[in-house]
Amino acid sequence: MAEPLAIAVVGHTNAGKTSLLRTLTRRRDFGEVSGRPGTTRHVESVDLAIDGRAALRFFDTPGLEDPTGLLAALGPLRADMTPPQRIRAFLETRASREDFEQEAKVLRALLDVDAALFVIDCREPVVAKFRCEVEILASCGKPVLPVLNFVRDPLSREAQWSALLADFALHAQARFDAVAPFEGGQPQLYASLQALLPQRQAVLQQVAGFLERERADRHEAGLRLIADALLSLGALRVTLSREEASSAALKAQIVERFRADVLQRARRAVQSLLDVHAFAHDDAELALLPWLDGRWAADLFHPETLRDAGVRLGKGAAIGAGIGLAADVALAGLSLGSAAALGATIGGAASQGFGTLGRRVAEALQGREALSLEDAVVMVVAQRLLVLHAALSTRGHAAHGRVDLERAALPVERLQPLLRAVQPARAHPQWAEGDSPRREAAQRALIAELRALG
Amino acid sequence: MPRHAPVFSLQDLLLTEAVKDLESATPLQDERAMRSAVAASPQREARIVQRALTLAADTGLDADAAWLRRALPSLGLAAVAAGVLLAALVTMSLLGDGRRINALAALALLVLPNLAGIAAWALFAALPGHGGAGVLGHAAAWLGRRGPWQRRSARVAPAALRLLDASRLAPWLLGGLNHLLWAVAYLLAALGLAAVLSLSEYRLGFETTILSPQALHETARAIAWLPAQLGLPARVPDAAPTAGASHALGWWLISGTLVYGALPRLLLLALCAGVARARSAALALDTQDPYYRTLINRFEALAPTRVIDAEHAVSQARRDAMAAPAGGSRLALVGFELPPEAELPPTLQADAAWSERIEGRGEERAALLQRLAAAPPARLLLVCHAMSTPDRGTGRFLDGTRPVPTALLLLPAGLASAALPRWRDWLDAAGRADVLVFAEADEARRWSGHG
Repeated sequence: MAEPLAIAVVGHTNAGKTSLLRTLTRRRDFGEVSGRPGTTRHVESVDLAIDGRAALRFFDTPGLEDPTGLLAALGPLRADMTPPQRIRAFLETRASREDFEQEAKVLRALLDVDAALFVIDCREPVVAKFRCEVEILASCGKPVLPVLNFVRDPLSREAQWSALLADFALHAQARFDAVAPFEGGQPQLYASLQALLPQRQAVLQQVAGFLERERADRHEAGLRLIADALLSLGALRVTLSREEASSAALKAQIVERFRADVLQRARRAVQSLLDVHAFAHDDAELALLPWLDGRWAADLFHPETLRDAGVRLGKGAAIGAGIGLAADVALAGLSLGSAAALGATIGGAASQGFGTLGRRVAEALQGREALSLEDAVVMVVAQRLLVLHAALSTRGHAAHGRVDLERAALPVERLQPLLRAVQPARAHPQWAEGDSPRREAAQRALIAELRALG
Repeated sequence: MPRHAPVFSLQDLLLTEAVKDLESATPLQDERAMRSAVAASPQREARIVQRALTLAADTGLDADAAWLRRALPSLGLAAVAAGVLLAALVTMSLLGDGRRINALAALALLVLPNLAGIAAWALFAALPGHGGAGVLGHAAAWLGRRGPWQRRSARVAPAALRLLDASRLAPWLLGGLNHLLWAVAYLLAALGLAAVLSLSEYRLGFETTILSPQALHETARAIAWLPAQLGLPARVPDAAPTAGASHALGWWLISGTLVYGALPRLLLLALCAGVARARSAALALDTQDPYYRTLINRFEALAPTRVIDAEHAVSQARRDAMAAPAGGSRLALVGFELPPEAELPPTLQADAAWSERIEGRGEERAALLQRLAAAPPARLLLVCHAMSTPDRGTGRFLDGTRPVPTALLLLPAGLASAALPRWRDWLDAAGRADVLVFAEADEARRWSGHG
């Protein structure tokens, strides 16, 4: 690979240049996104590296804040000049170092690169300054790909912008949403760039392939994490001795600790998911707050949540330990007792073998009791982790909005196959911690089910 | 475009996996390791491995892994020793009592278990998944947790087993050991036979009571075909018991042991070694693993960005000297770069001495500034679109309106309050704190003296 393909990101102040770059490079710390115009005051470059080599080099530029003034300062196009020559001539003048210092930086960057992404906030009204801006950019002699940002906003004036761009011969356009990227937005952007830069097709194809692989790898890693968390939760089991089982106070303590353990595991899973998707999990991140402060799991043991999930799951599921037992709020979401343990065993005996059954019968005979999580809780956790995973997969790295808890989730009943795949964990309390080949096999099966959910 | 994942040695990957296990409990302090990894390679997988190597050296994992590596050859030695023992047992059972040997039965005794063993191994190697190797691996893990070597192996053995399993190296390594054992056994058995038959006299023949001697004879000939092709002395005599026949059959037995016992095992040993070598030359890091994904993200966040065209001290825009305001007492209302559908507030329009809308073209601006300079109003209210401003164009126009007391009204009302703090920050930064900004038309009216 030779020199990286240089791409300038230009546009009017606040159109979302830095946001677009954050999303394209998945660097949430790049530049500084804010509502304040002209935040970027210098040209800053960032590389997109494939296998350690820079394939693309993006240049973030300051906004063209006064295109009207700039166009006037460029002066008329003389007959002996091409438009780029006029720009070069302007860059030699004093005005370009004083009044138009910031604009000159953009122009210099434009003359140096292979192509430019022209970011447009299409919520903006099409007024004179933007016509000047398009005219200046189109006259730099470089392939310019207009990127229509915020196309999904209700205020979007996409049609007017498209028409204006077409008037300046910018017919190839990409639609994008830096904050809420939609499926296919990024591939389309690169496809449009390929059309503009046929001689650099190889590197652009390579980039598109790399990004797709990365997306797939992140998706798979997320599913592995979720499967791991679900197996651990399903396996989680505390056996109470005869003394503990007969003392209400001791029992309550153990139940409390058990719940805390469940919540902590769920929280760890959320943090790992954020890590996999390269989202920070500091407390300052408002958007993710419900996921960070545990609010997403606050109602996990709420009888209502569980009754709802339980009813949806109940039919046809091999739930031995009845949801009905959860009527007792103190034990909501948990199954406790020899009877419950035995019931669960008979429900899952076919898949678990009789060794386990024997162990549980022995536990029951000895007056011991086993505490474990109900299926409904495990499935509610599954549902919410899947929501978060899906939300993070499509979330732009410039997004400031919340990842909603109520975002369209798969209905619990569709998670039925997961429930079956988690069952083997019920028979192996040791799966809550360590690895083993059988656990790995169960995890692979569970991942396959997760993948099938789409 | 196919991607060639970078390849690492088994030793490096073992340490990387072992560090991963170590960090699954608590993440290690890794600033130094991260830095050295970034310095060592631009390539992400190589960085992860380099980071792990640094951490392994810090935590003593590398010593454990080196110990494991040294322990492995002793497994090979054990296989050889077992082979020697096996050979001794087989030869002894063949030559144990009496001086008469049924050559065909002896060869069958020697070779049939071998062929059965090979068939079993082939089945085992062809099995999809991890069945047999997993069981053996677990036996090894169980042993690793118990013996006196427990302290050293505890931190690296699980990683090693997982790695062998995931890379599908285990069946071939175990197969290699197995074939080594048997090849040694058969070579030694052949050698033992040769030694015993050289130094003592045995009578070899084909003995049968109910089978046809002719069939036995032909079977022996068929068996002799392959050794003969390989140039070994395996001639089957025509006639029955003579000293010469015993001599020939002795060689037949030794050749048979070599060709049907040692040879297939040697070939399979070579096959296993070849496959194991190929597989270990293709060992790559699993970039779909959540732990490695997280590390990749951390390394990417470290990639530097470069500032190309740094900001110089902001050049103070030269301000147009303007005539001091005359004693005019009236409000001028200017709609600046408004979208076509936006309307100037009617109440303000009624208050204003004059009002004008400009789209923002250069000549429009110049004309307006000229008008303001020629007959300065008492106050100027600039109506701007909240979403598109502030920007330098508006700022430059504001500079031009000095010294007329100027304020801004943002439209539309729904977006104005969000833009308000942005504008205030911007004006403060530009040294124009004297310019007031309003989101409400009524407030602007009060400022203009009409409210």
